Amino acid sequence: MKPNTKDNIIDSIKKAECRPRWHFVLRNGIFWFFGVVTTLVGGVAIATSIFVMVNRETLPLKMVSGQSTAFLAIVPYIWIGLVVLFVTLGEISLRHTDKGYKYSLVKVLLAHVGVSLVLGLAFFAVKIGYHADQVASKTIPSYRAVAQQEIYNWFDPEAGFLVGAIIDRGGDQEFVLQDPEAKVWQVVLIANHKPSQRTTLNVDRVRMVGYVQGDNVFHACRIAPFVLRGGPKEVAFRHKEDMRRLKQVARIQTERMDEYLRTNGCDLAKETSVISN
Amino acid sequence: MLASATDKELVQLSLIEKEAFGYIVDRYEAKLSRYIRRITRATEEDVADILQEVFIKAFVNLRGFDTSLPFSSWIYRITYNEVVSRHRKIVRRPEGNRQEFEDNDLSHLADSFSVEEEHDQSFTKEAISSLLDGLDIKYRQAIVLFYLEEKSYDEISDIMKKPPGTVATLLHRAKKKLKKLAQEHPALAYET
Repeated sequence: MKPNTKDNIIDSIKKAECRPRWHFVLRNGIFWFFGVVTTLVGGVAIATSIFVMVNRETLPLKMVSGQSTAFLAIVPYIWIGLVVLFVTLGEISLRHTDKGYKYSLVKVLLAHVGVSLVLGLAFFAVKIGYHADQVASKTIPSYRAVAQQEIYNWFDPEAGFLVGAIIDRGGDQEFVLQDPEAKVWQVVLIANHKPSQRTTLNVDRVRMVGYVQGDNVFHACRIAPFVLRGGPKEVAFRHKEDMRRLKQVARIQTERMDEYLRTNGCDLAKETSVISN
Repeated sequence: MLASATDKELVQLSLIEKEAFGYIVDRYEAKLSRYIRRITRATEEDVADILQEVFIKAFVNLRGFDTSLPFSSWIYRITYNEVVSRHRKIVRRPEGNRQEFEDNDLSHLADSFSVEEEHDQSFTKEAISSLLDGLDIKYRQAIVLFYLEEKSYDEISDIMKKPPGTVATLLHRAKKKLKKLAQEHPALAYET
């Protein structure tokens, strides 16, 4: 180095000031903070993905889109996208911390995904997935919460799906149900219901597959409790204004439904004759 | 007395007394100047500019120096970042200097890449210099740090801010690329 270069450096240093220690502590702290926050948010997105997947029933979707593609409709693409986004952001933040570069990307990524999954399961267990789903439905206009979506899918008596609250348990084979539009139905259990299906009558909200007989009688071939795993015990029916029939439900393939009813011992002609006898 | 102080002691002193930083400049100016020439095609003016910027940045960020690292790794990192940030501008200049290799450098590289010894040394120096020019800066950086600056994987990891495993991969790829370039180079006979 030429002598004047060194002199220039010393002169510049005399005029310069060292950055304070807190500047570096803060910078490192900000990366840690974002790393932790994005990991937590990623955990919430995983919890919500789990919540969506375990609570979406594919049966009505199979009647619309067929057996092989129905599962595609329950994949929570938005939430999975958010998981990828936040895990990536967390990864970037953590790699920018003081010692973040020392660890291999694959190891840190696997550890990060592992921590996010554990957090996601824990958040799901304490119903954070459900609450995130609810918040999203209230804040994002086009987003429909799982409960709303399931009510949509399962509330089409003419197509063979009915959902509602039991208001009178009645006898062993029948009960009275109120649907989300407050219409009262007389539900008759037909076919060979397994004991486990009968026990569902202990819950207040149920969803059924069957067919309408007359004005307000529904013959149920299959009955299942309408509860949200990782959510509240009772699904609230408070979206009457949202109860307009979905186009996709209207497109339910009647031949698919007939086949389903037959294979579940609910042959319409046979059942009609049993009832009339 | 200060001349025998360790780097970390000089850092502490520089925070109290700016003049002490002059000893750090004295200690690293030649090493960094040679390192800059080895990894980039810089003119004398470029090298002086880069060095000035490196030492000023090092001083300004002195309180951010992580004392768990060797000071040399930290200042080499600042230098590397400065070179990379100016790299595009520098490589566009055909009039830039090729790095100057010493005999010692050549023997290191020759041992590592099995370059035949009977070649005229000055010619081979030029050829090796030209091979390094053909490498991407990150590969050239890895080769220079490992073979010429004789840094360990951990030190290179701290300088390049990459995990040691990635450093090993970089070096492996750099050697492969260099061997391939050597095979294609008319002036070098490469033994496989």
